[in-house]
Amino acid sequence: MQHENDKEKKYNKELFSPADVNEEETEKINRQSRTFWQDAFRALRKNVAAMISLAALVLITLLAIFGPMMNEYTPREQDLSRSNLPPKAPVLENIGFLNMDGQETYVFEHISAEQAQMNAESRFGEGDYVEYETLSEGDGSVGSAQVQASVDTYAEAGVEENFWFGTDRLGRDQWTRTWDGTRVSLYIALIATLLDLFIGVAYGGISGFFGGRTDNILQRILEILSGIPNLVILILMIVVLDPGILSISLAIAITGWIGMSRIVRGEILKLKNEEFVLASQTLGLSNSKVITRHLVPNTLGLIIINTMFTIPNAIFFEAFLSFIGLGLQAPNASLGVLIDNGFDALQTTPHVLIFPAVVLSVLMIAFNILADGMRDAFDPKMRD
Amino acid sequence: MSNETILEVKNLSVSFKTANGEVQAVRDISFSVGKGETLAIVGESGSGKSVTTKALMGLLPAPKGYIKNGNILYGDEDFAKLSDKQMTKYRGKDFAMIFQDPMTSLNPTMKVGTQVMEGLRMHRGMNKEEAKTEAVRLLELVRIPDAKARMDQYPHQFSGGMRQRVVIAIALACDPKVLIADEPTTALDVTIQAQILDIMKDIQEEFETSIIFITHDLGVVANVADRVAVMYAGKIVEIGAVDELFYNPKHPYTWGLLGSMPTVDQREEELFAIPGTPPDLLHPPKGDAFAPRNRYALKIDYEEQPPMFQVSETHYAATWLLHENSPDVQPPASVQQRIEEMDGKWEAGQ
Amino acid sequence: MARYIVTRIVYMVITLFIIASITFFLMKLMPGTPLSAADRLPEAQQQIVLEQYGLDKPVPLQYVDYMLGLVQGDLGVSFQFDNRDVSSILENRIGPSLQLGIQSLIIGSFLGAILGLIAAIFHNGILDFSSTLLAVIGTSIPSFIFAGLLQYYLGVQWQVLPVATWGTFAHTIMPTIALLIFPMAICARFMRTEMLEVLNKDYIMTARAKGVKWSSVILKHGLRNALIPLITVLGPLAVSLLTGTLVIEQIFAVPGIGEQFVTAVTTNDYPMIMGTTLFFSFLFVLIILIIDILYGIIDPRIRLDGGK
Repeated sequence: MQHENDKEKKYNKELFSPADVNEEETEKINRQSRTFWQDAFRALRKNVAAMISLAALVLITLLAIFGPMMNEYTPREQDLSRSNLPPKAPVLENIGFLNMDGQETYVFEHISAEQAQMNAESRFGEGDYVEYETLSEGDGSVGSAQVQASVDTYAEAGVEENFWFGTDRLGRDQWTRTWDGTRVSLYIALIATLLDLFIGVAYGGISGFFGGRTDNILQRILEILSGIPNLVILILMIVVLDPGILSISLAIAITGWIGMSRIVRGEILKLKNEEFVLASQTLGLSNSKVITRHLVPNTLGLIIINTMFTIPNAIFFEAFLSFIGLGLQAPNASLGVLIDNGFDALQTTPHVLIFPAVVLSVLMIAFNILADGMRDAFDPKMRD
Repeated sequence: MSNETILEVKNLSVSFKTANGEVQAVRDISFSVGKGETLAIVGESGSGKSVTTKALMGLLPAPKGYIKNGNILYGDEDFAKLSDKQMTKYRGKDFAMIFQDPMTSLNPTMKVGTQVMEGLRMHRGMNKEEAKTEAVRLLELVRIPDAKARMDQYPHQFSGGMRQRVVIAIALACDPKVLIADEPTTALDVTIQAQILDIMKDIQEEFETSIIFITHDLGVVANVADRVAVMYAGKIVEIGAVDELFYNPKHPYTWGLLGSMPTVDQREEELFAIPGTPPDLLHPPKGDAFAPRNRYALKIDYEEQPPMFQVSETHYAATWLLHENSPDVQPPASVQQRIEEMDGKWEAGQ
Repeated sequence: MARYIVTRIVYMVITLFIIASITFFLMKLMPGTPLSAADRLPEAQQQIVLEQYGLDKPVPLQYVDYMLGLVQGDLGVSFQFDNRDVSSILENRIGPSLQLGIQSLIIGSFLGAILGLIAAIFHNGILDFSSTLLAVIGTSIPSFIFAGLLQYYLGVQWQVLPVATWGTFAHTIMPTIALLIFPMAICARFMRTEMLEVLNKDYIMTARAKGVKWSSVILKHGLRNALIPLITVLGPLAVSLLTGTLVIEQIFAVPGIGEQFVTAVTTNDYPMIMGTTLFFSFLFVLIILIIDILYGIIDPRIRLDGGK
């Protein structure tokens, strides 16, 4: 224990006169205060993964808007003379591993180099667009000799322009189609968000705020509605309408907002019994004031978080349906449709699959990571 | 109460790493606990009293909270130096803890009996049958009616007071030498509070357990403690025997605490409130942390931290007012009056 | 509890009744005759066909017939498959779907729980980071893309597993993996959050204060409390597997209900669509019900209070 060990230390007597205590000063709070939202956005900005995701989403959105306008092709324009071209883009073609130089290599095997060469020539013929190289002379056994043909597919097809993402079987520009398809995903994301915000929040809010019989009736309806799988609703939609974006939108409209309405209702029910809300009601604040001053600001974080999780689900729903052929139909492009097409020719022209698959995956991952980041930032419970 | 010291804390500092920097929750505190003695640690929220007990138990939330400096001496061991694994040997056996909120401190999905038996089987090597018998005995000791049948129930079937008895039974399972009670009655009704305090007193008498009692309720302190340590902003500002602290308080903060304690025969005069808020321990002030809230503050309070001045053999206080050069300052009249009232009641009660 | 179950079953029946009615009337609203092939038949023969399917009766009567049939488990007769009963086709096809679904749900949630547990224990460490990343990727990348990658590499390039179709256990491996990634990722995320929350609870502190070893604290006190809420996600996951089987069965040519369903939709086999829809809905509400009851049984707080 620290005793009076520095008793011998001499202190200036002046120091022992009363200090002037400023009453105002004592009530001052030491740390500068930040609002909940300032804190939340600060936390979000510090989340590197979420910020990268946000950047990726902005980039994808911009490409979806402007991508299809960046060249002269339209999503449906077919030209069999330029079918199945691999991707080729200026600058990027010089980066080897990207494989975006429009070159393709094929290896021919036979018992001897001559015969392998003959096979290769019968496939590609003679011309400056093809180069042959003997990889192995062979020893007479089957497949021991190898000849590699390097083909400039663009020169072979006599195409001058570049197709940045290549073309598909029908010679359609994959760049235009991929970004056109991305528009569909983003449109679905928008629809799902709007429905969540308008129907979901309103339904849940009304149910929670008014409570009693209103709540009872609304919840019974919801109970039945949520018992119907959304796939079933979609099937019924496409039986009546046609498969396509309208059916998908309607299916989302019927059940997509249920999760949101439940969350909002629960939160409103909880808030309604909080003392600060009871207090302001006792003090005669009108319903609309209670809603705008207390309930909305306190549920907003939760609503944003939940919307962020709705979006990837909706995007997935569309892609999945289009993939199995219940969503958008050819020749319309959506990422699901494009991936489905890509699967058909996975072994010969993998690029048809890769680009839309990558865009869809990045879109989904970015939305999920951003949603995670927002939850961590906006949900006070989640903060360490 | 014997003079044998069982636990000695020397210059203990505990810090927390946060996003904004290091929060110095406990700053260089020293105290000791004698065998069979009850030491009460009082202070407002955030004064570091709970953190101190967590440090004693080795239960600081790793890796954010850590012992920055100091020793926790128990027998030949220094708990401040032991790893979490080494501490498990002592936790529950030599040192046991009772927590504040009985509603959350029991595992909701484990039978009450099993939770009591866990420590018995671990530290006392009992088999299931022995542990069961002993657990029933413990539950009876803390006066849980129908203990045998209650063994197979889950915590949610118990009332708050009954749960706190279970928590005490768990803490007592291995006859701990030191029992740390972190505001064990704060969450309970007043009548239940008295029962719980009674149980703890009886147990202490029977087993000579030392108790460290964390509270912010001075009424409880007067009731149970032998000695009291007052904490403010991570430091002990005054420590002494219970009547020294109540009848001869030296630190203005202790005056404030006594003055703000409501009493039943409160007359028209107002409660004495301590103005302001506690300092931010992220950046502890240079001098006395209490100075900005202290109406008796001296200029030196803003320059240098006061050392511990000895008042009596057992009574120390960290305030410059005790320095020979300082002006003679007496507690405010309202506090003095309060002390006299208590004195009268105390005498009447004795 | 009993009252709770009864209420839930009543709702289940109402839901199914509404779905069945909507399904029926929507089908009736369809333009033209559902027998696309029959359009080309002569008038008289068309009449015979309609009679055969009971389509000549007035709509309300058809509705009553349909509902009465449903109660007895009669889902109608398929147009496409030689007049076979929809229910018998479903019966034949349910095996592979069930096997895939159960395999992937059990393995997926088990692996996910372990991943989440590891992430929570090593909170903020490298293991936490990698398993969280894995979980984000698993929830984000659609199962059909995974399925494609698996099929291309394991099946085509390296030829370690059969590319598609059904038969041996080896045939089930790739579809199971493709299906289990989503439940695994969801369980991992859920388990991590839940475990972190549990480890912050006061009773964990009590257990540690008792001197329980850290490993036992996690396994005896933490795990049980974190696993109970995990049951709640199993319901939605099982339902998501129902839809997941649609794509996966199509990609791997598995003769299950999902593949059948897609075919039925593309060929306008209405009784088949309606039957499968109802069957899906039935499974859906049944799974949710079972999970809710299971939750009540396992959580002592609900079990003994006699329901919420």
